[in-house]
Amino acid sequence: MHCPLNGPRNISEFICYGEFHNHPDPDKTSDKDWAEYVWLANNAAGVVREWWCHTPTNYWFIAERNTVTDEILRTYPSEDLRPSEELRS
Amino acid sequence: MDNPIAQSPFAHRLRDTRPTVSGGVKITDLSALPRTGFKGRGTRDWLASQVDTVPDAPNQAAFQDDGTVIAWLGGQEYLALPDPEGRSTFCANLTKAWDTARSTGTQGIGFPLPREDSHSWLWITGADVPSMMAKICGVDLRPDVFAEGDVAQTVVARLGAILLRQDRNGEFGLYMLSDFASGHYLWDVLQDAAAEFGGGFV
Amino acid sequence: MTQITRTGALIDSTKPITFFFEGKRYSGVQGDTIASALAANGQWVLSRSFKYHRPRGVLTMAGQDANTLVQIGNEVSVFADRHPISEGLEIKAQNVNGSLEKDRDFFMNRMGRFMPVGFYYRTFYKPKGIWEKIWEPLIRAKAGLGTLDINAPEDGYHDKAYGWYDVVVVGAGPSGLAAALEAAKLGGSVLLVDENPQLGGAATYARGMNLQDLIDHVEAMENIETWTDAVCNGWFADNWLAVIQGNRLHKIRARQLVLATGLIEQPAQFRNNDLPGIMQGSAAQRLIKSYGVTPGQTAVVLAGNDDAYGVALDLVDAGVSVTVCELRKEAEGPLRAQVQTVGLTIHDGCCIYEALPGPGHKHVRGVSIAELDDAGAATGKQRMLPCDLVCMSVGYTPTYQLAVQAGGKVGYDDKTAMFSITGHNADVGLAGSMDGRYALERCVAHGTAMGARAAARLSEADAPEAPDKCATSPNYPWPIFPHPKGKDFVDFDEDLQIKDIKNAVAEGYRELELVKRFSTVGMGPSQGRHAALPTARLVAKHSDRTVAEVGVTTARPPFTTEKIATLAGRKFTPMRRTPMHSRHESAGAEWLLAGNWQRPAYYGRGNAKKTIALEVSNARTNVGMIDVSTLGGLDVRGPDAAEFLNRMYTFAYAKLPIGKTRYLLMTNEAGTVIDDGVACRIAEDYFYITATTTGVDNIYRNMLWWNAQWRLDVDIANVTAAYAGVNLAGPNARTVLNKLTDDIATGAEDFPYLAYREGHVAGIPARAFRVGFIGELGYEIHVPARYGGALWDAIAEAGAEFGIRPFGLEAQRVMRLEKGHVIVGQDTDGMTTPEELDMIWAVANKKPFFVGKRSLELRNKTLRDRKLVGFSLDEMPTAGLEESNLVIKNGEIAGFVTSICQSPSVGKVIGLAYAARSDSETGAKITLRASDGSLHQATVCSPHFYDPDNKRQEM
Repeated sequence: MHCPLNGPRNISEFICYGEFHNHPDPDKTSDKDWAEYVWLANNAAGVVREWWCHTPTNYWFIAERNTVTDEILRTYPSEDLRPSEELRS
Repeated sequence: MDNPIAQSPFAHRLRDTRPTVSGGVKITDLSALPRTGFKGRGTRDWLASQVDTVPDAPNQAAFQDDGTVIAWLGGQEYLALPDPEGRSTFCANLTKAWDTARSTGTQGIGFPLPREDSHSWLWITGADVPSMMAKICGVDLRPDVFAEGDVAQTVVARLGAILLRQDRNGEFGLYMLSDFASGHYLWDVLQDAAAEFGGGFV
Repeated sequence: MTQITRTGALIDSTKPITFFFEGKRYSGVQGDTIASALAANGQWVLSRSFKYHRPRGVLTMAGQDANTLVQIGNEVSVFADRHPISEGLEIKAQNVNGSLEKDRDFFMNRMGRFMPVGFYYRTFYKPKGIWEKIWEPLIRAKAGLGTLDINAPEDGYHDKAYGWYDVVVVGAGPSGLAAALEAAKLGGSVLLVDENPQLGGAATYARGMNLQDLIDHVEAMENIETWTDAVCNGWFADNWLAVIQGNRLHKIRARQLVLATGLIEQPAQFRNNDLPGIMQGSAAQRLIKSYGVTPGQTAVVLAGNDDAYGVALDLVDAGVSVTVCELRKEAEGPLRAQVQTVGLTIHDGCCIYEALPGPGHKHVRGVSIAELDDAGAATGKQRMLPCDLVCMSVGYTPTYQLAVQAGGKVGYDDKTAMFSITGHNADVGLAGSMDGRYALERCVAHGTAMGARAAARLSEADAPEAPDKCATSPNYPWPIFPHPKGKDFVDFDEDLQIKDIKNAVAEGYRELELVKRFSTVGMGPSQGRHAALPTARLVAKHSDRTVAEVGVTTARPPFTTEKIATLAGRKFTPMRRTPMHSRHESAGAEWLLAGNWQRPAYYGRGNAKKTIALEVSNARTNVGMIDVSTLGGLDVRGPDAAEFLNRMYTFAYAKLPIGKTRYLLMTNEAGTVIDDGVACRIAEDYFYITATTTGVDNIYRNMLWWNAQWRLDVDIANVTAAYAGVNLAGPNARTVLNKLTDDIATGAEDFPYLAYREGHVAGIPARAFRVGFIGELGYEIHVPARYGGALWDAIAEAGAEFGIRPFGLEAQRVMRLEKGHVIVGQDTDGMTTPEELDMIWAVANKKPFFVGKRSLELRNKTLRDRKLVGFSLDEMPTAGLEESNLVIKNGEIAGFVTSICQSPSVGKVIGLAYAARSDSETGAKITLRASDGSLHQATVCSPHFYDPDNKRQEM
């Protein structure tokens, strides 16, 4: 896997933290939608954006991976993503 | 370490009787030397104002004139090491400068990291080091691939480690900084891996 | 048939070696394998088959079949046709009841009709209980290969190494050599791997092939490494290869890979085709060329291709009289022409219908050959040919395993009757005979082209044209001749016959993967190398489909057998030690693992319970010290530090004054409690926080993940290993600390409960804070790790006059339980909310946000029917009660015990358990079920068993 910070490394140096998604605003989300957000995962077949972490450096980044072929198409820093909604009051 | 009660995590093992070491792989404990690091917003600019040269890419080291090293570990994180003889006051000067700036209320200059206590520091030198490391580390460290001043943050025998190419008198060499608390384990791993080359801790 | 002087490429006849097989002494020479040396001595039987205990011998001479598996010392299933002999080596046969020569289980050979295919799925389960009582013990005794002494010490030094190459070529036959040579011309690093002892592949034994020039060229190239006796045992993503050579497993990253793995010769199916003396044509050639062993005196060669005539000629050269039985009616070829010139008898259009066993089935004594009809089936026109050797040369399969692991699909071409491979990873090229180029020149040309392709892909140049596949193949399309009496084996490993495959299809198992599972075909040690092709053909025929439609079963790593020791390698289990480790060692600590830290459980080798009770009472009444260096430590710094903690933890930190500490409780997004600790505010923008020993690495990583999204102006550093810590606790703790510090005021008012101070302890820069985890006056003192040993010594010395003693983790656990403090991970599970722990006091609901807040609001609407309660019993029942024992209410499970101990301070058995909410009031009775099933009543009480008003810790 190609780490945007450290270059190509053995897959054993990484962990996958599941699909990337924006966090819903807790105050504007119904109980049902919140429960789905917390407990259900899309588990889509195809290309998904995922959080990955290079564990020796604890560096988090985004990978686009095809979950059918397990092919990693692209990796990039999380800064390149749209920021999530500001939660600070 | 000027304080006589401070101890390297390898101190108890250095008293072990062990075979004489040939030139293929020599492991020297530098844990007693000072070292520091800085991390957080503004670190890069502040460091650049303090030293002659900072690396221009992550996972690269910049050697200063006196043999000291600044390594860029990524983001706003840097590692500072003195020369391997420990003559320089590089780290102490940096720490002092930071404390001074901080005491005047300056913000955005990063924060110091306790590298002397979080990481042990070894210097692994000799022509067989790349072969020896290939038994315990998945990163290609052959001399034509891993150049002087290159840094790899990786896993060595299932332990997180920072590797930095620093040759010794023209011979291949690596600084290895890794978990302070795992010194006992690391000693056994390195002695075992180096035995094939007649090497080990000196 | 003892041969006096042998000449072979791999042996040195001048160096005799004595060894033992089944206790009998034999003599071989340097370079011999076990099988070649035994064959030279006329010992052909090497093993007994798995099910019927039939004698078995050399089949491939290439380490590809289970017939030659033997046991050496404690190492089971060694390939006798690959393993070299050495002086005094003692070898035993496997799967033998009695002796190899007289196996008491050979009667199983006649029991075949009672063991139809898949019989174990329907035989052993009736009547109820018969499996456990009768069948399982019986089958366990009969099944399995070899005997293992699990207490034997590790045999030899096994390790692993990484490797990196521009191009790796697997297989050093004609195309592999050519590919390596061509790839290397562009200057990159090339590795050429072959499982055989010498380079050359088929050229080392097949007739009329000489590759010496090519080999010399390859060996002259400085950038080609050649490894022999090295097997590439697996392909993994991104061309990661597992290559085993000797005791080392190489994990090799190849930028480009060329597979030139060649072909595997296939047996024909006829009755008794497994008798010793019946082997592949290539096996006979290997015996002759490599080991100088003449495999018989009178041979029948079963021919389905021209290679068979090369075998015939080699046998003639070795002094064997040969008859050829040719399956084809109109065969021609250059080697056949030579055989015709020599004048050997050739029976065209004939098959071997049956092989005739000698005494005890230990060797072939002749074959019955039959003329074939136009459909290729045996007719009644038969004749008997006496012989002591049968060589089969009827076809091959490509060695497709690695290519399939690399994503390739196996197809079948009806015209050539050969498997083909397509669709493999683009960074993998196939070269030579495994990809349909059989003639030597074309094979070499194809290797050259594939080597050039690999190099071109690295330089992004155009790859050259590759020569076309051959229009014909050396495969005879249907070398399968069923016999009414069976024993016409498709899979030698599993003793499966033609009718077994046919019956599996008849039972409805049409899909190959199902046939495999029902019949066990291809599941033995040779993993279907010789069974896949005939099985696919038979399943296709009996299910009216083409072989291409049937396909082959999935090939996964490993390609061939590998030792557990190889996979294990060196023991890389990092263990962490605190800087005080040697002090604990000399104090006689018993160790336990907390995460990967070694921590003292208690000190002293005496009675554990008494020792722990003593450690407790000394801390409660006097003063104790415990090493808490393993506790997680994080520096949280920056203008947004308080805001960050507010979001990560349930409590409120914005208003925490400098110099004070506050409890930390963390929930995950689902509202489940996942960690706790203490936050010390060092400055407006600086918190030093602790986390659980086992949780800290994940907590730290999680914090970085959250802040990668929040982007608060805060920096988090994991300083766990950088600080050594001691908790100095007990009524005399203040007096001891007072002796050690000049700049920290220790008085109750200067340094009150929950305060944080910085200064020096024993001259060492220290962070100190008042904690109450064990419920006594206590100071947690953290110093840089380098000084941990010195700090421990100084406290021990200062406390000596009061009788200070260290206490271990066990005593700490007892004392915290006496105080009713939960341990996250022990007293919580994957669903625990703060409410269930009675810890709503630590949840600041007024905050706009913390991780888990929304979920907790949701979950608090429908609370689960459980609470964590304290309970006590007057004494421990004889059955014993322990953690995880169930709480039973009205015959149902209401919860479970999370912590329990005999409390030295309270004088009762105390514990924490999840119980029904209706039983959570003080005085309620709950029923605990001990591990033996007995039920015991306990009384619910406040979990603050000891000093409930906290007077002692707040002194």
